[in-house]
Amino acid sequence: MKERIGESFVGVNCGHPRQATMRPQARSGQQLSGRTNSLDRSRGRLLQTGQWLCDNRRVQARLIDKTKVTCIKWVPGSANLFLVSHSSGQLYLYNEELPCGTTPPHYQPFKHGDGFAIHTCKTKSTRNPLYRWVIGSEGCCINEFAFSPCGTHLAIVSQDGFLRVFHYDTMDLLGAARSYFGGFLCVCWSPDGRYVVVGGEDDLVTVWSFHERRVVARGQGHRSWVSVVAFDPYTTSYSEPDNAVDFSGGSDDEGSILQLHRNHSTNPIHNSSVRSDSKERISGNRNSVSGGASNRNSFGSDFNKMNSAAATCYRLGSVGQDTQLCLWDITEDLLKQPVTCKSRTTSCVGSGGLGTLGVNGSATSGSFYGNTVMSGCNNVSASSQNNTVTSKFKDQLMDGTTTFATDNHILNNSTVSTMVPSLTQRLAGLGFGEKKDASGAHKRNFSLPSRSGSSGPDKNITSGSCRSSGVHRLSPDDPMRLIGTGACPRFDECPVLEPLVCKKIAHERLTALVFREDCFVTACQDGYVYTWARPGRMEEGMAAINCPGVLREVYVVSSFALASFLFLLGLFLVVTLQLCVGRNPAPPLHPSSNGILSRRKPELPHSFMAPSVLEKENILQEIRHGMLNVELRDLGGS
Amino acid sequence: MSFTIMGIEYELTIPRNFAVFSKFKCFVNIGECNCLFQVLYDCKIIAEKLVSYCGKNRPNKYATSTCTNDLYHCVAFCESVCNTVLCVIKIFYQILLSEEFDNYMQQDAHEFLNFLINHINEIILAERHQNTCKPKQNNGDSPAPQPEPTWVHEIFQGILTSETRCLNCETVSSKDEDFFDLQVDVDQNTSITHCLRCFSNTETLCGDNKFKCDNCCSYQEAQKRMRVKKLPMILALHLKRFKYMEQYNRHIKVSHRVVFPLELRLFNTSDDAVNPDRMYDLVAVVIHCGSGPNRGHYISIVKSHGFWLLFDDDMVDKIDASTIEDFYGLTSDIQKSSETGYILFYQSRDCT
Repeated sequence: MKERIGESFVGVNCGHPRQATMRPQARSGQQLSGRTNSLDRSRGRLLQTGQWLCDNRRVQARLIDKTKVTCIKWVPGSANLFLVSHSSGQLYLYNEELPCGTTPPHYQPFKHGDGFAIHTCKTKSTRNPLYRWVIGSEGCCINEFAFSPCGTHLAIVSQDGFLRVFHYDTMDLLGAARSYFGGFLCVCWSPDGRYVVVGGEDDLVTVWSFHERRVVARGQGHRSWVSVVAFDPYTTSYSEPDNAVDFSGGSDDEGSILQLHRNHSTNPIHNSSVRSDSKERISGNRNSVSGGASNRNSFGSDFNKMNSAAATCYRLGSVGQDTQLCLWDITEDLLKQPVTCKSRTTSCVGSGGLGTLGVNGSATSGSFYGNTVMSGCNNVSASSQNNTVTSKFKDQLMDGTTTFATDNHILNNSTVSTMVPSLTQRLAGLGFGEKKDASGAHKRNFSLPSRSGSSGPDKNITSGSCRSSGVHRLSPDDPMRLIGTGACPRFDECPVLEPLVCKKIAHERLTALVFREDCFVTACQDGYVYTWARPGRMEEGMAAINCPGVLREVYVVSSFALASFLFLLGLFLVVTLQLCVGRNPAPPLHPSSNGILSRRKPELPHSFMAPSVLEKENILQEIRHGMLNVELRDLGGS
Repeated sequence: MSFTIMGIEYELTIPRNFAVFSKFKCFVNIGECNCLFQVLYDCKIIAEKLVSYCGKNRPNKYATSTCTNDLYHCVAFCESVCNTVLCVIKIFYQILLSEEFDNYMQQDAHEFLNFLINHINEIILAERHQNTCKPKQNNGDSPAPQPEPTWVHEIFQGILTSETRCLNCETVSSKDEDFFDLQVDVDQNTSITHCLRCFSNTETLCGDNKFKCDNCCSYQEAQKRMRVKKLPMILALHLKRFKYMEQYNRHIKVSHRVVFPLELRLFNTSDDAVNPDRMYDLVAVVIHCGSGPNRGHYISIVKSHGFWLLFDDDMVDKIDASTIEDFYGLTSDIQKSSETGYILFYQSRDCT
């Protein structure tokens, strides 16, 4: 739409150690050009960037790309490089300190691969942009991109329905996934860098495993397009070293009981970065105390013993155009379901010709993306089958764990990433499924639709052979050929997650979701920003409103719009951020106060979201950004 | 775009608009006819079929032409451009002149679509019948056997299977039925995917609406679910935006925001579906503008040669794909005039 670059950048910078993203404006509908992005920098730095683009170099930047900016991020580990994506399907790397030049840049090819091309500027002196990445076909909008927590990988989602994951430095395409249909709109990495979660126009939340290079699960719960996905690092639980031992060594009662306590850190206090042993024990006790309420515990320890393999559990949040917030638990036992393998691997063995299915399915899809990926996949599968960790693999694990720099996690990951579960694990999984059905109360939140035991393999064999013949017929860039592969499994070939909580929280479509330690923040198309306290944090949060605090976030919506709503922003930020700033060490968590972010209760989300928990008073602040909204619309319309 | 029919290449450069018809006959509501013609015409496979159909039958048709004088002028004009396309126009014109259509005043675009599909089908069948009666006219080209479905059916027809499970004896009975479009209910802030999923939700037949179970030989409570068994080449989705409201005692327009992606796959296919992986692309949307069913205007947006065109009576504009989102609907429930997608046409990717 209308030519602008950098005119309405909205940046959010938080003094928070981890990345947070906030997008209080439109993805579609309103003619907004910029989107907020988090930048792990100081506030001043961000302001500079905004001004850099807005004031000084706007004219020059226009020469580079006139289409609207969809996403902007600093390159991790670099002082002055940042990436800007455009709806034209181009991604530019800028150096803050370099000039843009007064003429449109001429590009020369630098590197290209399947579905992407990278160019450099063809000039004697170095100038901006340093690189231009062209993703997908001509004019397919890049909707968002995200760096992995370790900073080495870059995930890009675009309107052509592809997720592409690159090694940022080598610019190699490591893997790709395809939406069920429609464009992918948002992307995020799990805190440990092992999974990439994307949401899109297929109303699904898709979990893609970085190590396996395949789609491992899909979440179905939104009623419309998914606009933001975000992991909640505070509720994501991590396994302990003894679990790792337990995991590899089979079933060790003591270990799994320990794990039972540790994994059930329903409380948001369970922050993996800072934790003392005593605290740990307390939380463990707390869980066993609240066992009646926490369904997991009520499920019995034998179940947990069996599932000792399920070491970690990721908490994911998503908001969409359906005005709903969904919370998902992605558990290891789910991710390790040998879904495609279960029927497929057997069929491969039998028929031989279909050897590209199952675990190797990822290799099939990988082969479309060039040899690098192919070898990558092979490495992965080889390593998994031998239960060894190749050096390459290990590197990634190391990378993935840098954010949670504890030695334990490396151990954990290496064991957890075994992709061929032992027989006991499989049995555990099976037993689990049965229990789920039998108890009914316990909703483990996954299902395999229309998978009948007997007809499954046969059907798959036939469909497999159809597919292989179909592959030859289709043109090489046709996404249709990906259907049924690891990049885009059929709906019944992939575990389907159900949301833990699915709640309408606004009247307009939601545009942002940020998890913080004691709250999470959502923003909505009509200009409201809501801050939701975590259970048990409510009173504390209220008290904090009156405390003095430091302004830790700043929105910059273009230079001329800035002044006009600084006041409102100040108001909002002081209020919300004080909540975060003024927090105390973990407050006592009462079983009764387990609310929105605690573990699931059985059955319906509605009962889970008891009115007492999520009533209006729990919205700590609700600020009408009337002006903000007006300003943004004005920007879009001009 | 050009087609080669019987060795002759036809360039489709005729007047893009069928609003010329309004010159010949004053219809109260030409909008929906026009927009639907555009949709059908611009849909490549339909156009090909129409053109090839008309090409095949041209000599025949000319002899029996019942053109009015006015049409003749139009014909003469168009003839210089492309005779075949003229026949396309003529088919549409024939439909407009047909008896059924005369009775037709204020029309709903969806009803009209049904009418159109059926009528074209009838014309073809009649033609086919004629040809089989006088086979010598056909220059050795032997006509297709009678019961074969016409191309209109080939394009639009899909099969729904409704599975009913009797809650008494647990017997599942399924029944197949043809459809030419799917009529889905709309909810606020949803996507067409969700609407389709709701379409296939299990409903319980109880109360007055019990199911007659053959096994139990009585009326029983049952669960029913409709799923798609055969996916059509062109999937027409009719959003039920006109709801009867008891309190107002009339139909009102539901302007809910329903998003539709440019690409679609169906979730609600049955297990034995023939082609469940079909990927659909959005090719056309009929848009209702206005505040109610009895007033307003129809326009259409059509994807033609990679561009989106907006047809508003005799105006044709090229639009950006991003403007499609203007036609999703309104998020507020305040009743006011809106421009909302009403019929969506998705074309299967594998048939092009």
